[in-house]
Amino acid sequence: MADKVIGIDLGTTNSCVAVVEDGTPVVIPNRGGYKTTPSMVAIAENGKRLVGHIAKRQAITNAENTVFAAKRLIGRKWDSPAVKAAMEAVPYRIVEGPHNDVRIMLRDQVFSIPEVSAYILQEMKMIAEDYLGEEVKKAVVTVPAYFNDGQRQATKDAGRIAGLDVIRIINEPTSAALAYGFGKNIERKVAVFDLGGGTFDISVLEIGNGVFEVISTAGDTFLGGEDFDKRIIDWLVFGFAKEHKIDLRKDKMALQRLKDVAEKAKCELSTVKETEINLPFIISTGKSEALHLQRALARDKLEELTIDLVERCIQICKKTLQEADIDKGEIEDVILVGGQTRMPKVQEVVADFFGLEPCKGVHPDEVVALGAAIQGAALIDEQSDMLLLDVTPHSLGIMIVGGYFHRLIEQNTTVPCSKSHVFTTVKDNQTSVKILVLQGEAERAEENELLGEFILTGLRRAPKGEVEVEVNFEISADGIVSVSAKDLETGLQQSITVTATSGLTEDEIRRMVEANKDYMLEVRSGEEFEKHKQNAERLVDEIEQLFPKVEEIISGSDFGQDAVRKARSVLDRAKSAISSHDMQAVVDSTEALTRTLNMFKGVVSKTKLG
Amino acid sequence: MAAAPIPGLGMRDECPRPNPAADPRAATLSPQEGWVLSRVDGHTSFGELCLITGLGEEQTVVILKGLAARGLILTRNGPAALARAAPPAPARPHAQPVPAPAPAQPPSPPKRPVAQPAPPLRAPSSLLAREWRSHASDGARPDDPELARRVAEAAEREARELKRKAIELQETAAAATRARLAAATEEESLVRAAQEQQAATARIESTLAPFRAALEAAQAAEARARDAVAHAQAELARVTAERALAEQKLADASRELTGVHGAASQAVQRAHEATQRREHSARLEADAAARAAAATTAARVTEEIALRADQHALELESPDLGRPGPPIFALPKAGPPEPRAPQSARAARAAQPGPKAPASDLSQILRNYASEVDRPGPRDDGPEPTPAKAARAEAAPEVELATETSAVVPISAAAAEELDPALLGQAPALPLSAKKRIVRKHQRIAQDDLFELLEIPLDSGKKEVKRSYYKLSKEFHPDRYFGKRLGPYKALIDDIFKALSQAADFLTDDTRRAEYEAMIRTQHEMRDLERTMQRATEAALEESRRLAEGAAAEPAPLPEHERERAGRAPSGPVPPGGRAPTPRAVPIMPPGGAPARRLVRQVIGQRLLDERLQKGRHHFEEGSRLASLGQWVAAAGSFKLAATFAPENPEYQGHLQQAQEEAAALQATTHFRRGVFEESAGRFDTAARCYEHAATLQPTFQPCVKAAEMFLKIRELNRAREYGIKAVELDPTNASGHLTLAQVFREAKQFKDAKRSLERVMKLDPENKTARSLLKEVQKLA
Repeated sequence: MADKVIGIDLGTTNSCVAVVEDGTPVVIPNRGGYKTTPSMVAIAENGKRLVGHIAKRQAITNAENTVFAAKRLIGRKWDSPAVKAAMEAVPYRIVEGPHNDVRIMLRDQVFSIPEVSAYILQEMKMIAEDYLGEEVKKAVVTVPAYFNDGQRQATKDAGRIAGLDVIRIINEPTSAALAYGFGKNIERKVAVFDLGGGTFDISVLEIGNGVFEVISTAGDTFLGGEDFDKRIIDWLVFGFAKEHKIDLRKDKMALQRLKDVAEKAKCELSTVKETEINLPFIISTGKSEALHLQRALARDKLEELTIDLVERCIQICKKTLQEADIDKGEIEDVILVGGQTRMPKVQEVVADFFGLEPCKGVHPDEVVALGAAIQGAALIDEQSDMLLLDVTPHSLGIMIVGGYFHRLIEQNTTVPCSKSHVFTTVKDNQTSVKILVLQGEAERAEENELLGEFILTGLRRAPKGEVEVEVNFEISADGIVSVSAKDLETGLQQSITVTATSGLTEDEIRRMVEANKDYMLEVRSGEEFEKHKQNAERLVDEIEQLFPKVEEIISGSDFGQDAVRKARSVLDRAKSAISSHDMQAVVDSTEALTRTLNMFKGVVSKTKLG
Repeated sequence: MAAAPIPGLGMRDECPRPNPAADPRAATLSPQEGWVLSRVDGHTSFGELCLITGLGEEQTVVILKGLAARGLILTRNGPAALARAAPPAPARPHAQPVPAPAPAQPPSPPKRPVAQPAPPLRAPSSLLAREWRSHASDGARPDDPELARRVAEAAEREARELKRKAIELQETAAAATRARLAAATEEESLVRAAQEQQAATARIESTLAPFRAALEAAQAAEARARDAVAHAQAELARVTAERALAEQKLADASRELTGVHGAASQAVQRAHEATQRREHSARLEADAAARAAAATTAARVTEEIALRADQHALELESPDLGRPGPPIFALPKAGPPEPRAPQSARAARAAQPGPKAPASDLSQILRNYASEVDRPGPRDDGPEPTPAKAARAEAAPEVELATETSAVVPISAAAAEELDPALLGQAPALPLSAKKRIVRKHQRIAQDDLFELLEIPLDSGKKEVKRSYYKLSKEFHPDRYFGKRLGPYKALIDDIFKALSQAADFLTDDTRRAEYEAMIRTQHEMRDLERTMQRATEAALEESRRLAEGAAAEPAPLPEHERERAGRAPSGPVPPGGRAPTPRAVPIMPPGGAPARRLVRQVIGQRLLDERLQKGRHHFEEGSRLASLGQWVAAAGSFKLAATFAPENPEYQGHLQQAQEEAAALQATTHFRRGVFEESAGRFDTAARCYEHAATLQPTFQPCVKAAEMFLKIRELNRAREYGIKAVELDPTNASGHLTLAQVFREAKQFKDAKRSLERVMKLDPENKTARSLLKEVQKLA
């Protein structure tokens, strides 16, 4: 039996892990029994790493050291607008990395984004391992369809740091459609409406004969469930301010409690018409008296507070379909993805827009992870009847004279693919050409992502326009881009495999893999040591308390003196073992301490009797 | 082994729960206490709570204790225990020692005086510890209840043993004391003995202490084992409940599935019907077209046959031949005319109002004809060729049929069949059938047009394109072979899939497709037409040959080359059933009556000659009409017939030649256009082949030079040189031909030849910068 491949939906706000067991994809719950785990990482005061629910529950009180929405930063360049926007929006410190990449500073320690994502992936890996009872090595990880090569590569690197072989990166909407179409023999065009915690995506796919093809995809990376929560928080805060003239947002603990309760209330209102929000002792008036926050929130009210957000989604749908030249009537089913789509109003508006009831067969929080697990299983299973035709999310090309971008591979081209084009020299006696490999949709080269560059030299000295260079682009099924340039006269060839710049060098990644392994070892042994240390300390305490009495009783005899001496040396050894953090020594001394203590107790109780 | 405790609260990994029964508002809490309380959710342990409150461990512990004491949170110890444990003032950790667990019942020490010190005892706990360690190193988990029970038992056994030994020792000591007592009478010694006894007791006591500890450990282990069992039972209960739930869900899902399935099968049924209707109409259409073509051809043939029949009739009428004898043609015994394929009959009627065709071999010929012409070509198969059909298509590779007018050399047709055994021997992970399919498909990439590549007919809609693309993707997408060692097949599969997806892209793009489809359609039509023409001409030739031989008269003999050609097996791969049967019409001379026969022959000969000339004229007129319409291929066919009937007429030959040239030019233009198209699409190898076709059909400068360029691009230097030379021969004054040839030579490292060519370029076009710079380079190398 081949290794199990897990599917991980690495979300902006929540992550989810699934696996195919006996042909059925299942979502794996975490230790708390939840099927999703917050994509949050924090460093606690004592330097400990907190991941998931626990990190979320302290996010605001430890805001500077808690990373959320790292996905918005992964694979981004330091000078990109997305990073600038994030820097203003997040409380943690974003700093510049050594390769024009982005790093995060937490308690004087600098982390790369792939590292932070790795901690989440590792948590998901451990959840799966706990469930399966075996080590997991391979995973399929999903990313938004608009992720560029760098972002995908960075996600792959994160997997590596977490000790996972990411055998494939797939697009989230594709993954959702995969789970939707799994086991059904259908031929239809579907829309995937994905309103997650932080982002909104709309994609159109064609499914036929077990093959899934993305046709178009677009979205808004700053629109999601958290915006809905924010509306509830604001409503609560204003209400409270009106009544008590206190701004709850200024108190971190109060704000964290508001955030928790807003999310909870929002979820509840998807099933009930009204819910009670109750936060006792939320803040003190300064006069030693503490105030409670208590309000009822109705579904209608929530809809009123958020209707513009829902409308925005629909506007984006409209625009996307128009641009892709797809008629609404062609869409035969709508798949809802992301927790926020459970809101009845969202479903209603979507049904209204597409003129059909959204598909109820898939679970919005889990469907993406399930699809990833299905793809993982399909890849390693020869009998599988499933095939995913993924596309390049962005156009690929090179920079040409005048700083323009010449596309060789258009966006939404099915991979694997290759394309070549012949270019000529632009100057007389030009003996070399520099090939700048770019990704993006802008006409100007500099507005696109630079994936890599190389130089083809040794061209014949000739008038401009005469020497022909053929540039060939190739994308493999794994999405690896390789580019070659060939002098058509001499057959001279230069090529690169564009190891997309995730912002980390190979060396750095290797170091991070090691460091993470070390940390995990340390965490495990640290917990162990702490246990042994506390035990030893307790024994030392007790012995020391008994020491004077015992000494008094038995030091009269030679025999007794010898015993006291021995006991003292046992104590000394134990103390030095504790202070030197030598776990083995502490463990060894525990035994001696126990014997000594028992001897002491025996002596004391005997004397009392005597 | 349990996690370290937090003094006064509980174990570090214990998760407290909020008390659902308690109303926090009834208590008076500070906001900080409210905060800490809000973090308690039943999943977060004490240790984790200390980390996440942001208040620090000390203060968090104090608050938690307070909350527990007030019953707002539930812990394992219970609120009461905590209330006792929690002092009003914050306690420093470790300042208050945790009360030692209640010692196990120690064996009650004997109170009797002991006269002799007991011998020292080995510390038994080390034994236990060893056992523990050995278990641990065995890899067993310390919380394994079974192991714990075993250890507990062992400890108990050991304790019992030691206890027994201790009692023995005590008895020995007592006996000694008694003996001493008896011996010593002095009070002093008695006192000393008493003291000694006391000391001995103390020592025994200290020896016993480890036993007690061991017993304690054993009891603790037992307790843990019990815990573990209880835990396992709870787990079992939970799992059972989950299973029940899962089963419930499964049942729901399968109900839903049944519904969906029903709906789906209905939809499939409907789709199937629609497809059938569509296919049916497509077939009708194709059928009609084929019949029309057949009709035309059959008409032409029937004329031929009529001519022969005429002659036959004449011969039968001849008075000299009136007596019964063997017929001139050994005709099969003719009964009533056999029923014929309707379209052939119609054609025969339409074309032949004259004497009836008397013999069944005529109908045989007609039938053969009809069936052959009716049979759709491989490309007119159903919309989706089955694998068997596909295999047939490969068995008879699509070759531009060698027509009378233009002998096109089939390109790599034979190669398509040859599968390299060395290649098939590689990549053992793949089944042989898959390997063969991959290699064959790969060989076809350069030759097939996009429709052929996707294995669909020309008029396929977008849906069919996609459907076939998806179907083929499942065969040729690299993911189908994920993680397999593919060796040389990896590149082949990649190439095939890329070609497929490009083809699908192209054919689903309306604007680009329209132009391409028109082009391919012309090409297909031309090919079909040529094929029909060829068969018709061949059959006509055959008939004409038979006529010539069969007639006793001395008709003008066929020109030597025509005879030779007519007698030859058809040069194109005509399916075996399609050839007209070799006539058994060897004339058998009736005995005697030679002069009469000669006369008859002369008469017949004259009539035949007239007929032939008339037919020839008729075909010539038809050819001229077609030529005036620009239908050169069809015109060439008619002229060919005319020339066959009247080989002595030079006018027919001239027109035939002209029409042939025009037809070839037309085809050449089509091939050339496709070449330009393929070149712009980057499919250089296909482009090279198209130009090559064009150059063969019409050896002019342009296609030759383009072919040379393309072959240079794909590094087929021999071919490139061949066409380069041809181009230069065709137009020695064109500089670009010499330049291309020079580049080919240079690439082939024939620098001297390159130099010569470049010098020619310079002579023709002194301003050519490329040539100049190339020349400089080549001069150095030469």
